[in-house]
Amino acid sequence: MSTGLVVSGVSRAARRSRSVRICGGILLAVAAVAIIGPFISPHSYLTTDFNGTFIEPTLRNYHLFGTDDLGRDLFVRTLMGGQVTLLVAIVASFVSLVIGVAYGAIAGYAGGHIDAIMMRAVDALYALPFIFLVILLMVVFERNFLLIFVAIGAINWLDMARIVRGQTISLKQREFVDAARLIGVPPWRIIFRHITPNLLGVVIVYVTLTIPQAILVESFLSFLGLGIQEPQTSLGALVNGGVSQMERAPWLLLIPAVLLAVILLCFNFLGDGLRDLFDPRQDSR
Amino acid sequence: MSLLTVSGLNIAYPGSALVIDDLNFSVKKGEAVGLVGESGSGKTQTALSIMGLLPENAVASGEVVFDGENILGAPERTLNQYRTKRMSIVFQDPMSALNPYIRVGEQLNRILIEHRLVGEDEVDGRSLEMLQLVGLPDAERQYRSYPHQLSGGMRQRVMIAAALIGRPELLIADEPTTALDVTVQSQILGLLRNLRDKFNTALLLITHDLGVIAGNCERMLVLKNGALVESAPTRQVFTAPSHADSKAMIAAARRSDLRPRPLERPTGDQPVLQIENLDVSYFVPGERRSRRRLEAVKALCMTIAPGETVAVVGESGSGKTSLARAVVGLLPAQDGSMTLLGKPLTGQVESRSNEMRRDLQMVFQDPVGSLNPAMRIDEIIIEPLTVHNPGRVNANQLVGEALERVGLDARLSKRFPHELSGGQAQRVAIARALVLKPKILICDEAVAALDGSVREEILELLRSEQEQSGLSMIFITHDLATVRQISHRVLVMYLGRVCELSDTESLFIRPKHPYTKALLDAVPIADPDIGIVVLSELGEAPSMMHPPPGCVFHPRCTYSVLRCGDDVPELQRFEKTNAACHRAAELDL
Repeated sequence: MSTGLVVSGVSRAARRSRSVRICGGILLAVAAVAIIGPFISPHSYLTTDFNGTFIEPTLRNYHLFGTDDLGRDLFVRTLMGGQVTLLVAIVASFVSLVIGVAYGAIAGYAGGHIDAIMMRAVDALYALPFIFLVILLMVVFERNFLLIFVAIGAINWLDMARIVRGQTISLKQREFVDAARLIGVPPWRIIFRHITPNLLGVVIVYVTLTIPQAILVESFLSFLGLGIQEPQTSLGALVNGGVSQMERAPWLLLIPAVLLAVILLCFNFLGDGLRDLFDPRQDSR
Repeated sequence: MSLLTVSGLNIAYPGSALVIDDLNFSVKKGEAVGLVGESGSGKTQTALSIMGLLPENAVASGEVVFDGENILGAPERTLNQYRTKRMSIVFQDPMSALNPYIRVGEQLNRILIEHRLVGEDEVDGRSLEMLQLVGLPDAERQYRSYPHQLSGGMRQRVMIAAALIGRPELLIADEPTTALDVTVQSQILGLLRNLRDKFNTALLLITHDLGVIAGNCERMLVLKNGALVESAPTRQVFTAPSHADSKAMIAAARRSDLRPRPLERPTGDQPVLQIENLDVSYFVPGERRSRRRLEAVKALCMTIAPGETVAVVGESGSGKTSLARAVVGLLPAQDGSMTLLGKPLTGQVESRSNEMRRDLQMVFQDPVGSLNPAMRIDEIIIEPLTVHNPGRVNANQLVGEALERVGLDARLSKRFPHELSGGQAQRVAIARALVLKPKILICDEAVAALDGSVREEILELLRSEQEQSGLSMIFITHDLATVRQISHRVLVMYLGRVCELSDTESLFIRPKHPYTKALLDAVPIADPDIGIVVLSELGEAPSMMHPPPGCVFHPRCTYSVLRCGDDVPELQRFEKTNAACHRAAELDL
């Protein structure tokens, strides 16, 4: 039911807003190429070729984006990096969505002392210096993929919980919630069946705006060398690698950086477009 | 000599049909003209087009001639020559028409300065004089108040002061009293009449309430779907309407005035619900230190027999809704006892048993707001059943039956609430309340948000439901016409106390409490020969936070004596009524 609502809401948004249509289309295209591309290309992202380092972008031998200092094909590496970046962003946002919505909706609906305790806990977590936390985690545990998801998700859900709690408190006063209470619908069912579906508009918009945030954090960590490890790569890691070869082979920096910027811009525009369309004040139009 | 002539006016919005279709009318100097129609008939669009306030995407054609000059589509500079000085408008909601950050007096001053109406040293005096003229109590103090510190009626007086400060020749009043209580409404209408006599202002009064027109306007125009269907002297429209639509409108207005409920009050041996000495109070949000308890309901007693309807009436803030919410368990009761079919009814709704919850169901004021926007109609109707007998529900069949029972097509079952009209949504809400077969249905202003004809249908539906199933109802409303159509008995509340508890008929014929009498007098009657009684001495209700001592009504009561300020009157039994008034026995109201 609620997935149907999301689909119909988003498709209505796509019909009505050009920016949603264009940005959504670009993102879908990027994701499709990033997934399919590596299968089509004759090269592998980890095969090195010391006879073919620093080849400029060319059609010969299908090095479309050229090669890097180890002779690896940049086209395939960029696509692999794009995959990882999108995956990190989406998984991290999903984690923050699940935790944040559940936490915020429960705190908002329960109210009173439970709400106060739950939200002070959120305040306390806000006070943790995030980067130091991540560095600490990386040092204590092995550097791994999973840890990045956890770390990014763990900060993003705090914002989500606050937003959802505020919305829940205003929804709780609506008459349809009173009607459900009179029928005898148990509280957990009111939260998940009556309140959460009505939060979807706000939540979807917020998620599309946290995805670029997660991408940036991942890129930042990779740039610091704390993120994805070789031979795996992400757009952030590629940009990092490109910076050191900037003078000799500028395409190593430019291509991943442009792709990263395009993805970020598209998510931002998408979020803005969706926010405008889900804004209840514009319903009358 | 006509002051305003509207001819061939058409208004359209991109992508929709004409909202105003070839409208022609005129208003003479000093004349009062009423413009009536149901919601969506284009009344407000007409007003906005005259004032030049249509939204930018509106496409208007035709002519709006004010004193010989066409001002439709005129540039802002030209329009400003007319606004305030020659014509003004008063809107329905005074709170949103006043700037919340600016003191009331300053808002009037700015109008004077902007239009260079008086010299700078006279500005304060003129504003104050205007506030006094509109009967704002304690005008010197209110001059320095912010809009939120005033009551709804006082804000509307300020709006009228602002509209008349430039002594315009035409005043447009767009539903000026719809948001106000009846007693305040009659005062505002009286004020408009007085000021009109004083300044000889022409009035275009826009309303959906024929009673308001009847006593105030010489001529009336009836709009239907953007087209004028009737334009004649008020008396003629009321006695011999020429168009079918206005005929139906007049008939509906008269019916709700006159037709009493032709039903005998059922006499069950055991009451379904018995309420004794109920106290409901809650904290008003604010700083912890200054938080105060608001006593919404105080020492209320009532019983309901099986199959009986008790209407609860009173102005806003009288505690009607708090009473309803305490009965169903959405608000905690501080004191007193309630029994449902002999069993004690305590606690909030979550702590009650399933049977108790099933027996008490409620229909809310806002039909769309009481349905979950993310659920389909069939899910909404089936939910009570799945909660009460999980796993044993033949959903499709039950939804079909429930929809049919409230007069809806079963094909609506896959729709979402926002795809329904207000009347349809209220039927769904009633169906949801009735699937559990409750003993008592509580309707909290259930028809207040609906238009005339739809309102009649919903009342008819509730009545036939009651006849079929012997349901009892508590019907909360501020509209006395509705009371007469649906209820066997009436409970009149004022500031949380019961004033009068009476059979419906005797309440209308022989009210025993002065407040009941005032409420009845304040209702505008849809008959131009009767007109409106002005209750100018009545004033406005005091705040619930500071109820007066003794009889809560005594500061507004014409008949109050010394004792009324000291002793709280008990509810006394009279022949066919119970009234809480010290002087009820001697007064002949």
